[in-house]
Amino acid sequence: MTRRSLPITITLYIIGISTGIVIIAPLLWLVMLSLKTPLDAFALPPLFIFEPTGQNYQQILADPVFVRAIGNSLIISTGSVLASLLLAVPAAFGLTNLKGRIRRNLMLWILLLRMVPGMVYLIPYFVIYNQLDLLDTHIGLIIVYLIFNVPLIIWMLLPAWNAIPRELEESAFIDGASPLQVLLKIDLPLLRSGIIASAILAFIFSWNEFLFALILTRRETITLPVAIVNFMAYEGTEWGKIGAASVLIMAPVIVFGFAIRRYMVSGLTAGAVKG
Amino acid sequence: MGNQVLGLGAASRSSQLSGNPFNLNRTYLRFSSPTFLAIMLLTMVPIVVTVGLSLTSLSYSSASPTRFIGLRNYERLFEDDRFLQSIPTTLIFIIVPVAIQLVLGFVIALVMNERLPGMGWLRLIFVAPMVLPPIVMGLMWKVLFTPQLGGINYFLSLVGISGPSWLTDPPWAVVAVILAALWGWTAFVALIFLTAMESFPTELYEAAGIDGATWFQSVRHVTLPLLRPTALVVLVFRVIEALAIFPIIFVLTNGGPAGATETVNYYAYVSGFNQLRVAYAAAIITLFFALLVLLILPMMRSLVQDVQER
Repeated sequence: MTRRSLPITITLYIIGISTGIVIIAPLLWLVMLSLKTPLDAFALPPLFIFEPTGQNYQQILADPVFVRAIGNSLIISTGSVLASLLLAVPAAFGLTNLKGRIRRNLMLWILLLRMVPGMVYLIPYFVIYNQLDLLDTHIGLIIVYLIFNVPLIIWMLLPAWNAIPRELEESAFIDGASPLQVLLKIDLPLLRSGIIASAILAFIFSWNEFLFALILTRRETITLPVAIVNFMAYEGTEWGKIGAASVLIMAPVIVFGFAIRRYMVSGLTAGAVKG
Repeated sequence: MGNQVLGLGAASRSSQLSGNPFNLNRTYLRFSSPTFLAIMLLTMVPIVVTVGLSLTSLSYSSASPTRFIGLRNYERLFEDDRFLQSIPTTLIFIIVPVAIQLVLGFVIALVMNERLPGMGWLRLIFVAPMVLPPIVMGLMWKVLFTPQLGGINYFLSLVGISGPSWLTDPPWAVVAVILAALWGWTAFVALIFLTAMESFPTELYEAAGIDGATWFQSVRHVTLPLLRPTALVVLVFRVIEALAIFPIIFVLTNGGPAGATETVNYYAYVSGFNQLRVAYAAAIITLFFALLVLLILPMMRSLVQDVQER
């Protein structure tokens, strides 16, 4: 290894620490805001030491729209993850065993699908759902999220699958196992952590998604990101409550993010989590 | 058909197990095809519908019956100042943040790759911007840019700078959106670079050290050239996804002030769902999508070549 001189080391520390501050400070500001009374929130210069209050959280959790949005987000995200796994796991199993051109073409196609901007699908889904009476339904959003989550899960599972030694599967075939049995008995147990990680990433995507939720839901199936925007429109000055709602929405995905951070890079290059 | 038969023949020949029927592509296609057909249906039908709609006069705001009007929507687009203004805005929001993200991401990855004692936490907190709901990210920056709530202008005033009115002054609103985009996506770029750097063979650095290279020289002549392919991949992904800042624009500026932060896809959203001119919005999207496909298809081929068969 080449040796760094002391000034370089100091510069590296300065860059590293300031990067850390820039990332953390905005989040802390939001958390602080969520713990302030309206009076404290508007104090200038800003208060760094104040008596924290839980009233914003109490109020937001007493709001029936927000509570319903929590339920909707949970139903839609979980439903979409389960449906996506059901479609993606067999597809990835087939894909990892396919050979030649067809494999190359299917992979290219999956990657391409991940890259199509959501806006392209927005108008047709609105028009089609309007005809089919699927607007403002859970299943409507679950179906749309398949477009993004199925390719994401397939793309994340392929490297994990490639790590399974071929001999393991072939010896099962010699013992008379069918491909389905190989998938269920041999591959799935070995892929457990990869499947969980990809499921969590798909959950984060669905939980965070805003554009489709904004257009395809109304009162009944409103999700959290849309609920918080409505909140801002109607109660524009109640920043403490908006802060509290933000913290509640981001808490689960940040916990999930920490849990699967090793998989983050491979998963995100298959398409961003951000809708 | 002939191709398929040849393919099957090749697959079974290359197998070490003679006579194992499960190495046939046909068997495995049975696992993959239902999913691919479903996704094909869910994506191709809407794309065809979009193109079809763009040739009609469908509008939820007018009572007149929907007619086929050919390319009229497209003709109108090129006379629409608001659309024409959204094109340079889109390019700015792609080029500027992505360029800065690549440079900053590289520098930060370099720092993290040095494994400085006591800096392990940096890796951990990088997860936050990557998973944060974009809408919360937008709200967070709205809070920070709002003068009454302190935040950025307060800290600027501490160093004697009187902060601009970020969200109401057009050029500063553009800067505000770019700053939010940098916060949101630089960590991701840095982590990809870091992952690549960690896979570089240490022998190269040892050899550079023996040759008497300084730290800067080894970065310049070993790290940078090795990072080229990764940088290309990151560039492709970031360019394509740069327009994912939609939720941020939505909360932060709503496309304003005076349309200064309105991108092509934001204008498509406004035409379709605020003005209810559905067919017109479909024309914007079709044009946008056609350009995107032309742009990304050649790049995609080179990306997939990296994915080897097992």
